[in-house]
Formats: sequence, structure tokens, C-alpha cells
Amino acid sequence: MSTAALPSIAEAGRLIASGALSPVALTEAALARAVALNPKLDAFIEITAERARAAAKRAEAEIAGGRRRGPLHGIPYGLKDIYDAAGLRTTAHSRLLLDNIAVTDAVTTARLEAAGMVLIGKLATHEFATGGPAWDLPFPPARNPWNTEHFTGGSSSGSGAAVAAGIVPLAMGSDTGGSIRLPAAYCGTVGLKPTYGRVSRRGVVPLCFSLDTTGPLTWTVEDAALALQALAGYDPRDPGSANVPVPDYRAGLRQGVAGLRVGYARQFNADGGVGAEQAAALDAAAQVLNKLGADVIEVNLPPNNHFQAVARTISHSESFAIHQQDLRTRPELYARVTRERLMLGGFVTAAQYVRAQRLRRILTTKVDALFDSCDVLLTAIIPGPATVLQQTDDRPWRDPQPIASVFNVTGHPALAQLCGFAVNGLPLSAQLVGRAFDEATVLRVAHAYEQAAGWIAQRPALATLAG
Amino acid sequence: MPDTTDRDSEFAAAVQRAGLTIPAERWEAMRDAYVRMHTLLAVLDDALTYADEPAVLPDLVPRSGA
Repeated sequence: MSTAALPSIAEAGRLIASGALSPVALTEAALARAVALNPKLDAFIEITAERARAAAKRAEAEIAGGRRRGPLHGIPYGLKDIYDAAGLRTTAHSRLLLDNIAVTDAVTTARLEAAGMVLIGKLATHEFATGGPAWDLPFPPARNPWNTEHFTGGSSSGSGAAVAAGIVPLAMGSDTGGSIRLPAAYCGTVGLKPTYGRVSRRGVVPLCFSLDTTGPLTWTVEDAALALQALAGYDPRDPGSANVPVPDYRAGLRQGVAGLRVGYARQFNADGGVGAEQAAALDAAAQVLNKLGADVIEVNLPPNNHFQAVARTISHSESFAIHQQDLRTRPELYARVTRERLMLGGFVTAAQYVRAQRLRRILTTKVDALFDSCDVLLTAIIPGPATVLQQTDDRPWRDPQPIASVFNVTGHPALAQLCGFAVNGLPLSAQLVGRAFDEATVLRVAHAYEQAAGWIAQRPALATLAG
Repeated sequence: MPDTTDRDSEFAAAVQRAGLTIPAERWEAMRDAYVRMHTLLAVLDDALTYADEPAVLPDLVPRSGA
């Protein structure tokens, strides 16, 4: 096994099943890449080499003994450091949780472990999955593999960097206002925010109870389907979890898009402040889908500032409720940017919170109505390529606010995927959105686009280097 | 929009009510953030009738087509 980018989950799974690839060799390759590239990327907070080697040996023995658990068995992955893994620290990238050792696995961790995956480390995040890149924390911010001077997006920053660099084919992220899809977009990977309630949050450090969503970042759409298959399902101990049947996400993956109706929210490009390069890439993506046989129509989303007001009100209020005591008694332990953004929640009134919840339902109903005339939506997820890391907006109130939170407000499943490159060589991204609990159609359209467009054949130069 | 003095005193009261301590060197940046946030949140002041939205609860029921 070379130290080149790891194969996809699907490819590695096929090779392992045929006996052509050993989980131990694959894990050693992942660990070698992590050790070699982490000084450039700061993607990992902790590399769990000993634990990974033991898990890989177990997987190898089980598979050799005819007890292969499925397509994820023996394949390395990483966890954003807000996910509990028994015996490991969950720091949330914060000084406040440096001694927080998890006693049990998060439900999602347990599901991936039960599928036989091999955890190779805990990944960088923005502190408590909010704030922004900061240098006054115990760990440095992650860097973008396409250009390490640039931002990864966040808050699942290490997850985006590790997948784009080919260290792991799967990294878990969380998405309250775009935190899976933004690093996926800026790092050129696939990022899937499942429907709110589709995947358990129990054992994951919360930011905002009524918006938090857990999900995967992968290099390919098929891998996102494989990961969701393992992750999805009702958890009676997560009150936000939905008891909805889980379909076979790969069954329809290759059915193409002929006859499907794609609603392109083109007007949102202007309303969301999307730049010319990114808007042109979205236009081109719509044309690709049209050529593949989809019926592409233009649709209008409600005003962006309505979504932003709802998202900010709910997110700031709930995160302040979580952090209020620490903000009052030991504020110096937070990074400056995290502290100041969390404090804003203390200035939201109860009346505003209730109004935001009412408007949330109305916005959700309006977006739902769009699915009467289309099967998926195509929208922007980022305004343009990643900024320089040192020039990210670190003011307490970002202006403009990220546009990704639209579908956190409504709860619909949303997937970000590579749709081209800016002139500076950094990724551009498209977002596909589906009906609630219809991730299968989102994955189907995304897979068709991915195969036709061919962008994923390009990887960061850093990802092709030997470690 | 209240005048600047009103905003200053309103912000100071909000900080006190929240039980937070803001260092002097960050006061202006936080006050600016406070004003910007409430400028955005003003869209929530548009009145909804009780018939427009009677629940104030998130809706997790699968919708048509799922």
C-alpha cells in the first residue's frame, strides 16, 4: 500500500472483500498519511494509532474468518472532536474540556464501530462547533489541503481537511448552520447534512438542540450513501430523533436523473451574495443535470434575511443556554471569537425566540411547497472559494452571515459537492436539497452529477504526495 | 431606530441582565455586534396572526414524497 490518497470506502470495501487489500495495511497507510500531513494541515487533534492498529487486526481476523460485517468493515475513519469515543478525550477543541474523557461511545460512533470501521483519530473543529478559526486555543486551526494558506470552512474543519487530503475516506461532522457542508464545500468533498432527526446526536457535544444535525463528509457520493446507511436510524434517547424507516441508500444511486425535476434557486445567488464564479459554476451544474435528462426549472426561496434571522435567533439563544454559566464564571477559557459569539445569545429576548420558532415553521412550509413541483432543489452553499485563513471574519457578528443555515432552519436533507474550481484553484460547490427524509433522491441526483461532471478526479496536489 | 445614546444604554442593560462581563477594549466591537444582530432580527417583528402559525413547534413528521 502506497502513501497516496486512500481509496474510497466503496473501492476499499470491494478490495477487502476480494482479499486484495488488508485492513491492517489500509490502516497503516491512513496512519502514515495522518502523521506525514498533519504538520501541514493540523487536521487531527489526536491520532489514535494504537487503538487503530488493534481494531484493524480485529477486523482482519474477522474477515479472514468469514465474518465480514459489511462494506465499512476494516476501513479507517475520523471523528470531529465533539463525538464521544469511549476512553478518548472529547475536547470540542476547547480548553474547557481538555480533561473530558468519554465513558461511552456516541450512538453514531457505536454504529460505525459496529460496522467494523477503524477510528484513527479525533479531528479539529471550531471551538464547541461554533466560533471560528482561532489561535488562542489549545490546538491550531485546520488548513485547507488545496492551499494551506486558506480556510477549510467550519466548524467541521479537520473533517474537511482529512477527507480532502485523502487521509480517511470518511470523517464525521456536525451541522447547525452549515458545519458539515461548509468545510465540504471549501475543501471540495461531499458533505451530507441528513434530515433533522435522521441520525442520532446522543453523545455529541451540543451547540443548538433544535438545529444540530450529525452526518458524514466523504470524497464520493456513494461513500456518503454507505456511511448514512450505517448511521441512520431511530434513537429513542434522542428526543429529536424521528422514527422513520431507513431505505437502502445505494439501491437507486445509479438510476440517473431522467424524468426528475430539479428546482434551481437561481434567485438565491443574488439574495445570498453569491459571487460570479460560484454562480457560473451553479449555472453550469444545472446545465449538466439538464443534459442528463432532468427537467430543470427555476424556483424562488423565501428571503434569505428571514432564514438568517430565524437561524441566528434560535442558534444564539440555545447555545447561550448551554454555555451561560461558563461565560459568566470562566469566560477567559474560551477563545475570544467563540466567547463573543456565544455571548450574543444573552442579548436575544424570549419574545424574539418564540417569533423565530413561528417563522421557522412558516419558512419550512414554504420550502416544502416547492417540492410539489420538483424532486430536489439546487442552490448555492458558499458565496465563493475559501478565504485566506488569517483573513477570516473574526468579528463577534459576521457580516454577511453564512447562507448555509437555510436548510438547518427547515430541517431538509442537504448535500454539498464539488462543482468546479475558482481561478485561484480552490473548490466551488453546489448544494442539492431533498424532501424531508428523502436523502435517497438527493444522493441519486448527486451521484449522477458527480459521474457526469468528473470533478472528483482532481485532488489537492498535497493529497497525491507520498507521505 | 433608537439614537446612539439609547442604543448604548440599551446594550449596557442587556449585558448586565445577561450577567456577562465585557472588557473595555471589546465593548465597542460587542456593541456594534449587538446593533447589527438586532437590525437583522427586526424582521421577526413583522406580525403573524394566530391563524398563520398556531403551534410554535418543530415538525418532524415525514412529508409527502418521502
